Amino acid sequence: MIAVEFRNIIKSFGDVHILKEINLQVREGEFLVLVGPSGCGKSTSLRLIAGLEDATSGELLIHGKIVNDVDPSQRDIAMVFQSYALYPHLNVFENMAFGLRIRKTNENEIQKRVQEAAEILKITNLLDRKPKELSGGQRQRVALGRAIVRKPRVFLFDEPLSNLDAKLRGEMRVEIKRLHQLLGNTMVYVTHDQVEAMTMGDRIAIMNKGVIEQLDTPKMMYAKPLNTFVAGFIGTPQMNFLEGEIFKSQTEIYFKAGSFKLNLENLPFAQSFNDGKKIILGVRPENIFETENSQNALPASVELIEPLGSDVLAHLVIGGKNLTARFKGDSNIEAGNSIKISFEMNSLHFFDKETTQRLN
Amino acid sequence: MKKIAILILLIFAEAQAEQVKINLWHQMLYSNRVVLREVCDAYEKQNPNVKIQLTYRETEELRSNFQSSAMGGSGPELIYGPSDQVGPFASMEIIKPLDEFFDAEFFKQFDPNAVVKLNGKTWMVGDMVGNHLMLIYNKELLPNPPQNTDELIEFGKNQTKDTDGDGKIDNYGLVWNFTEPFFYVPWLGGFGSWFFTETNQPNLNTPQNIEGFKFIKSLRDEHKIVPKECDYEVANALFKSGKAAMIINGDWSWGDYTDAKIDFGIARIPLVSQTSLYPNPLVGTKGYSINSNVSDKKIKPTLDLLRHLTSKEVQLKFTEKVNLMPSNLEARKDSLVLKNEILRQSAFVMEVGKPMPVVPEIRAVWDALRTQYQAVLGGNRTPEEGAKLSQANAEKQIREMNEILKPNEQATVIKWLFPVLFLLALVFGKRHFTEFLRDLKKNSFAYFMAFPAFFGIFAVIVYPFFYNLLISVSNFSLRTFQGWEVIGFQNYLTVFQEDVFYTVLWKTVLWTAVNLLFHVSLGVFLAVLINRTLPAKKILRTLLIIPWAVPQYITALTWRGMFNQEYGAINLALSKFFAMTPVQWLSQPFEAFSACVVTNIWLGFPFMMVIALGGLQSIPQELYEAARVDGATKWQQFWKITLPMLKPVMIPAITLGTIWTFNNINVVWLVSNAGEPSDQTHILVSYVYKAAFNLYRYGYAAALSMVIFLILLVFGVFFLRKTKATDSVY
Amino acid sequence: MKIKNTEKWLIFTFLSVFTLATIYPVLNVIGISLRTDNAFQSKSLAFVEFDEPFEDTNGNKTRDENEKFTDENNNQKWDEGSSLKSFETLFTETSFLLWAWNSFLITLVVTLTGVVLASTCGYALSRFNFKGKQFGMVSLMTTQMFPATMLLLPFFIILSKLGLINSYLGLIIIYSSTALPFCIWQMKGYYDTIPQALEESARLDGCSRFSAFYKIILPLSAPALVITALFSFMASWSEYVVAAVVLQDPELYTLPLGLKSFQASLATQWGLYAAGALVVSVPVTVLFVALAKYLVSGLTLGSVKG
Repeated sequence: MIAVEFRNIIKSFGDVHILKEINLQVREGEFLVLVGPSGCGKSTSLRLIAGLEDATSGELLIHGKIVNDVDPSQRDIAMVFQSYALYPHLNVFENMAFGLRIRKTNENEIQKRVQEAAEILKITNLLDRKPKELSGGQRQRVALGRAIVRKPRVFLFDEPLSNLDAKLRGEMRVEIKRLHQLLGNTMVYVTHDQVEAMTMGDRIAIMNKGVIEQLDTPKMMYAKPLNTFVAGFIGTPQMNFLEGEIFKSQTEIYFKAGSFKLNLENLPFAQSFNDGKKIILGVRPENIFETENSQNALPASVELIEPLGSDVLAHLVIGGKNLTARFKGDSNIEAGNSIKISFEMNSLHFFDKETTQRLN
Repeated sequence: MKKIAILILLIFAEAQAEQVKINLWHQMLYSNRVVLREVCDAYEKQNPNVKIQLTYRETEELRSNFQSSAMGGSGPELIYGPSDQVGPFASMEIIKPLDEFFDAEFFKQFDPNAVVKLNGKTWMVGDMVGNHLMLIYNKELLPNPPQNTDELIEFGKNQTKDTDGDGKIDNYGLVWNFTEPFFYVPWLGGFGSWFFTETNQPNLNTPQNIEGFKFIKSLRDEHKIVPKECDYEVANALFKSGKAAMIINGDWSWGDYTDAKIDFGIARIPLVSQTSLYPNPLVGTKGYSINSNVSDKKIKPTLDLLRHLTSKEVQLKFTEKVNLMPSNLEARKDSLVLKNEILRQSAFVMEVGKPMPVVPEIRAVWDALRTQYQAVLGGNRTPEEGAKLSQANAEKQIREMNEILKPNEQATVIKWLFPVLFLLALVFGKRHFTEFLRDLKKNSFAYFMAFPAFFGIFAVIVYPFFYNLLISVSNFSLRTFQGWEVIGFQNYLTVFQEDVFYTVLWKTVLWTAVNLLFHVSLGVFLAVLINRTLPAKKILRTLLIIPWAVPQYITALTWRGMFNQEYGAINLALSKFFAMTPVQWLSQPFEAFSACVVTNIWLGFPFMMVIALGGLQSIPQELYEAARVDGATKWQQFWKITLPMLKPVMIPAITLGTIWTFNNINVVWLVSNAGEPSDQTHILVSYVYKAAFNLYRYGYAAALSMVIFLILLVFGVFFLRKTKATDSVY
Repeated sequence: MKIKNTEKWLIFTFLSVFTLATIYPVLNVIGISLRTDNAFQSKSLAFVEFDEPFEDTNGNKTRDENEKFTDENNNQKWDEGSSLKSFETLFTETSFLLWAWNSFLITLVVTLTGVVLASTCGYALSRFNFKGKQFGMVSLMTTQMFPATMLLLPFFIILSKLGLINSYLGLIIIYSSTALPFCIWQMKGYYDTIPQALEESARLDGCSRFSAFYKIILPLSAPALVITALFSFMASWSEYVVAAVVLQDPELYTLPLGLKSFQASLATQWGLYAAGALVVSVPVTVLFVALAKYLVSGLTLGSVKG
């Protein structure tokens, strides 16, 4: 069953095209994350689902019905805003009960549902407070509570965690995920933070400049990014990109970027590359390792290290190119060292320089 | 049964139809009003079908309101006022000639002075004569009045003294509202000429007028028997508190002095010693005129009422209660009049009186004379120049007043222009209109919310605006009140050709700039001071808002009183705390203008302060902390943080403030008493007001107000663009 | 710390002196209202005066009517001190209470109308982009630019034609509309500071556009509404010029009109006038004082985001 569907949705303000023909299906019960840099159209997409914006053209379906002309109040949707949008003049209880009161739910039911939600979110002791007397995390919980009491079929989240500090953000991430498991509703979650996207989403849609670059599970998104944009967006530290070209002769095939050279002999698919093809080579830092004595070892100098405890991030210079590598925490390299490294050849990503699309 | 019912209905309807309500507008003093009400109540009792509604208006307002309402085709049936309002009213044809209703016998009952004629027709019947000036003296201070001006000066000198020895004069020999032409012209007669010829021309450039100017100046400067600054209120207050031996005032003031328990006597204004001539006070009448809009149905009861109100019995009632000199010749023979000592004296004074001219030109003469006379008194003109200029200006103003501008070819252009513009608007508006219709569907909620307010605003503003636009290209004035026509752009041409426009514009700009400068700087300054922890902070803040809270028409008058040279709080404070010599606030152009500015600054700073306070409270505290860390001084913090952060809040307030100040007529009008001295304190709006309502130059005034509008429009657009008021700081 | 304290007290002293000077003119009006001689001028800076000391030959200290009196300056006028006589006369012998009631009625309707119209219109201007919005915003400002006095004559003509002379309706329409441009502007400014997310949230909670406005935004705009009400109130409570043209029946007079009738061309009853003026000022002043805190928080002409 499809919960929300975008069919050729275009949204533009005058000459500015915010969304360029979006097609997207959100499955019932799914946790879908829309992620992308600011201005990519992710929030607009969310607001289109909510009915707070009108599509310039195309159709929007919720549970199989076209809802382009349905007022937000009739869409049976709840949304958690970045600013939480708690009603400042109402206390927590009334904030949560507001939607039910508007729908003329009977008082017992209201009491029951608000209590339930408050218990789930552990805010029963805050029900009498006004929003301004709450901390950021508490406000966040109230905003969640306000959404869940209504028992809507679709939840929308608009960067709900971006106003929280790192620790709270981590906690709330888990909280929301737990909530999803508990309630099983469809949730569409907008964020610009790829960690949130990876950790929370059943599926992720990466957006950029009004188009969806890739819609996939987090695992696939990491393993097989479809283009350089997705590859660069997912994963921290960012994937290393090396622009260069293929040198191919009868005897050898290698990738060359400046004085950096990488032998591609052992990669079967590389054989299909033509000589002189312009390539962007992608290597994730975790796919670089230190080696003593390998054929394919490359000399590198260590410029700077960032120890993270479990890992060490090393900024390396290889053949005039900068790369970031992630080594084990017990590695004893230091800045200024000269070391030898090699790549995990099966985890290399090749992109066409012109189209930026994945080649392998 | 049915028949009876119909009959009853008919009778009822008949009775209903006969019920007449007659409106009477008047400007009687409070005590006279009481008598009038009694008289009318008695009349209503006798004529149960008549209901009389009395409306009081102050003289000038009575005139302008009657004009407006008569023009709108309504207004009261009867209007009561001084004879000089007949001039404009008759010229505008908004009152009816009375000759068609009354025969000669009726008019013969009255003192000829009370039957007001103009252009061979009778327009008003007076119920009293008088309104004349005389010398009123405090018998306790001065047992006998001076017989001539030498004695006046001598007695005056004896009575002018400093009783408590603080170096300031406490008691004056003579006080009166001497800066006002009405209170000056009697002396012209004393010097042997008159200010107005029998052919209704001004006669001001005379040696006698020069003598007169010098004489008044000498009373004040040489003999020092009158206060330096003395308007009506000051004079009256001094006399009533026994601090002035003599006052020149009219018959209307007696009641006031009786109430103040002053034992007073009355005499002629003393003989001018050098000519042996008595000054000639103007004798006027006050009486009733009939609105030209009175319906045929109402004319009969209206006439009846007029007849009653001018009857001998009613006049005697006024004589008995408020000492009015009846105009009815029969009534004069009544013992009530004959035995009344005051009236007898008053009649004696009246013997040397001259009738008050009623032609509308008299306004121009008053205006021209006032301007120059005050300039002479202020020492800004020699008497000779003053006499010459007052004559020239009076002639010019009369010319302007009587001029009926003829339509020129522009008129045809304008007549075509309006429909053409309308059509063009339709054509060009069509696209907008269709877009609007489309938008209407999409944004129906927004329109639903915005429409009622805009409808109200446009209903109240748009029609009057276009009406004004039309008048500004017409020859609407005193002489064309009932039949004005579109003439072209002459009014605009006049506006730009006259030097006075540029002087007044310059003053207006100065006025606005100075006011705004102080409003904003004082407002921000106080806001910054008060926006910190202080004892009694809330009380201080609240008290500082008070100038804004109290209605302007009250405080502006108070300020006028405070600016008086000798009795005003300002000078008292200046001399007490700073040992300064008294400033002639109200009789010197620059000082008077400053007085207006000071008053308006006082009125306006709380608004800016409140706006600034609101702005200050929204500035994040971290910014100051950051600046402190960066080593900024308090002063630098103010310039680098506070001011720039306040800008977005202050800009709209400044824009509005500028517009409000530019168009603020209240303060200038009330503090400087309509442009005094010598029309030197006008800003554009007060000048417009004067042109329209005092000089009847409606067309010119409308054109000028369009110019004001355009100036502000250009300013507004430019200023808002330049300062990007709509941008936010964040 | 010590320097800070000195600074604080210095500022306090300065402000106190300034405030005193500021309210002096108002104190002056109080003084006039308490004076018994109906005069406008007095030569002292004090505004409350005591009866001049008096003692007759029998050592009697209260002066009977007409009893002779001469002071040390040989002035035979006995100066009576301040009293509340003017106020007494005001309430007992004039129609002051009737005028006050009339003013109250008109002001009430005008204030309500003003608040309703300004709050809705300001909301539309703040939240929606509709055709003619820009034009509307600019024209709001331009309405303030035309010299109001010149609008009187056309006002009168149009009201006569509509038969609204001598009726409150005409007056109410004019009053409501004159304060509106400012009020709309200021309401819009305030709404601009309220995050849109609130209404959006309310709409997802099931509110229609209007109920989101009514249930969420309006309660939050209380400070601005109070200011709007205050301005509407002021526009009608102390307005004189238009009322003088429109109202002719003394039964219908508003306070300023009634007050003005104490003020005849050359013989004003200053005591009554001042007393009346004070009583008229009291409600406005009380409102201002009571609402001072809203004035600061609610008067948001500009675009500072809260």
